[in-house]
Amino acid sequence: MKIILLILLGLFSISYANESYYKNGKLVELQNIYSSSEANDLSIKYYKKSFNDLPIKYYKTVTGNKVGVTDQLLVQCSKSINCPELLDTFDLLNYSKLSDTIFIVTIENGDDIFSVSKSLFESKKVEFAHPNFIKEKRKR
Amino acid sequence: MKIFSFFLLLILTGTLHAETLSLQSGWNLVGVNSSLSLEEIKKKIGIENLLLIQGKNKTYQKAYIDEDKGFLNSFQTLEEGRGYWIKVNTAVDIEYEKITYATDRTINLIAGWNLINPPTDLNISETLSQLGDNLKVIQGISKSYKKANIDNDESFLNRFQNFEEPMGYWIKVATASTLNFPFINIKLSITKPILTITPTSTTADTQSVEINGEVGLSVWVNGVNKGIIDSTGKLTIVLDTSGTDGTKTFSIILKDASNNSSDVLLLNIKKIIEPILAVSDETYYKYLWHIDSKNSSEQKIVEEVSSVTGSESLEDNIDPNADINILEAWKITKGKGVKVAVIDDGGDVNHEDLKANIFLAYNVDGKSNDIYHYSDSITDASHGNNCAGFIAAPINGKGIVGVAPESKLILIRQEEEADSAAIEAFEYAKDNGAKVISCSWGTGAVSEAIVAELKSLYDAGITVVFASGNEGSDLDEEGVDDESEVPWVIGVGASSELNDVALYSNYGRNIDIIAPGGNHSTSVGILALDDSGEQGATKNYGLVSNDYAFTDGTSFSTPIVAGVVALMYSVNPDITPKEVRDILISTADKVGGDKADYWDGFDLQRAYGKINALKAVEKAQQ
Repeated sequence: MKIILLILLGLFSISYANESYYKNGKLVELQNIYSSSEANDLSIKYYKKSFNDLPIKYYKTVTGNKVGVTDQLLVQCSKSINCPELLDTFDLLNYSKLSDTIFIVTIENGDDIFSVSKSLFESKKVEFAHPNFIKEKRKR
Repeated sequence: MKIFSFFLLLILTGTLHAETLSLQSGWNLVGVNSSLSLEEIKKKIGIENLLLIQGKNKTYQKAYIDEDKGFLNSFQTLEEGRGYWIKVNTAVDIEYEKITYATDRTINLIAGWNLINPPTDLNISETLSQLGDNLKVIQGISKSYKKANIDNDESFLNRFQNFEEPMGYWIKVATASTLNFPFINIKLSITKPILTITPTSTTADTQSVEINGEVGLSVWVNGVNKGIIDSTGKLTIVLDTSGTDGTKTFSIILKDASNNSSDVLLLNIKKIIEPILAVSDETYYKYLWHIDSKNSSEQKIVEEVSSVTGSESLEDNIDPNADINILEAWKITKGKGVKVAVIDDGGDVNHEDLKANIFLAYNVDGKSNDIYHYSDSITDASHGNNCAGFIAAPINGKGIVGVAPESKLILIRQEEEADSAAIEAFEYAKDNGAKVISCSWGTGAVSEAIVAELKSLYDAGITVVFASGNEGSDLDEEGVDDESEVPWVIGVGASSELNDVALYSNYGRNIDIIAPGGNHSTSVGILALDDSGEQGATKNYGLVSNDYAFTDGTSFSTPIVAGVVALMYSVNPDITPKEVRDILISTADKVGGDKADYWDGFDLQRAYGKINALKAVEKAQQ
């Protein structure tokens, strides 16, 4: 019985494990809601299951905003850094430029996007490296 | 008198063109259509170089002069139809004025040998048709015709084909006869001018037309030479289409150097005089209180809406000062030359009150130019249409008018809700020349990547305007990170028909200004452009067509601010986004009366006040 309870607790913990990334230099947490009913309450356009053919996982921010995350990061390197070289050193080979300074990077090989995001930021060579968030865009 | 007679003769007989006669050392058999005198010939060839001129019965020999027998020289001038032997000491080229005859010429031939000069071209077939068997010999300097060769089955020896100037020819005929040299209209085959694009009507006082034709020909319009077709085979001319309504006809021909002309191309251009429209001619002008609130107030539109809706809850009439002082600003500029991007859900590219001012349309989501305009009659982009109309609906006697009615729109559809899609939309606007970007949306949770993109636009001299939202919320509350609060944008709240902040308008320390957004729950709202026809919003109260709708929100205050910024850029393209913001907040009207509490010019609900278009434009000019 105890074993069953431990297994259930473990599964619950995995399902609701929190993820984190750096925002403005501070580590912020995202609560996993992608397997909860909350995800279905999202008004993000038609509760999309994927973006750019990548599956979307939904999270809730500490302030209650719901955001979607795929396996894509948005990265801006520090001014003195050669961004393609930096991405290469992290074995991030699938990337393209969105603007003069912002790169969109697709995480491959099953790596965890939040781990990669934190590693990049902790290298102190990027201004930011956060998920390509999918957020409810409200007309006003 | 002599000069006059000479020109009169020329007019009657032909025209003059410069030609060159090349004389070899020794004897030359020449026949030139010219009336050169002996003195002129001496001058051109040189007295010492000219040894002899021998024509029929007339001669000039230098030797006679040298031997004091000049009286033996009878030659005075070259005569029409006659050939001459000319002997020179050394080879020389002389210029002469060739007479091109404009009528038939006839040479009388005596029986036997005749030394002639052909007045015009004539070939052997035509010569034989006139002289028949009477013609015995034609002898030129190198080519000849002999009847005897034909008689002896040696016609292959006859190489003469054509009389050619400046050759002289000996002709031998059996009996006296005449040889007629008919006037040949040597008009070249000149193709009629061709127009690349044939204009049929214009509203302008001039019309450029590109004429295509043979290089070197001159273009004549209604008898006036307009220039030469250059090496590209083209000449662009400007036709005068000034004047009143009606059709103007232009006769266009091409001419060569000999004045030969092509057939006439007749070009009819209908001149259309467009009526000069006033903004008050817009169909629904009386409802545009954000443009002319005094008029809307006098027209009592609140009463009108109340009567058709049966609502008794609508507030007082429109405040006569609720507008943004735009009519005065338009005396300075209407935004010409400025491109404004609207990032929203697309637009109705065929809308009667929008299409004239759409510069580009792009769909970020589909990477195409389809911005959810399905067909001529169906568009699903009502919010984008609403916003775009407030910026650039033209003064055209239809519907409504935008704040910058001469600016141009870049309509961008971006419904995909990823940060990357928003960045793509901003980049498209920047790459296509937008000076202002209007965003009537927000997420309340702006990402660092979006902030970085907005900073790059700011640094690039592009002013981005964001709506604050409609929840009546304080954006300074912890956890709210809205796009409208980013320091690199103009954050916009809404003002109402009562010339004060609208109660639904979100506010905060980082919101900059308010502008008309209306409030249709307490008043009439603000009249916007809508999707054409049945689709789109439906709130028209039966007062306006389905192409328009009453609405409200900071979404519509935002394009009004974007329009004013466009006016500012049109009078001063060099102002920076920081200067734009400084001007907007320093010239804003401090609305709210006793209810307001401005500290250092700032009131939490009303920001720095309501936008004043005239003051902003005037200050931007300085």
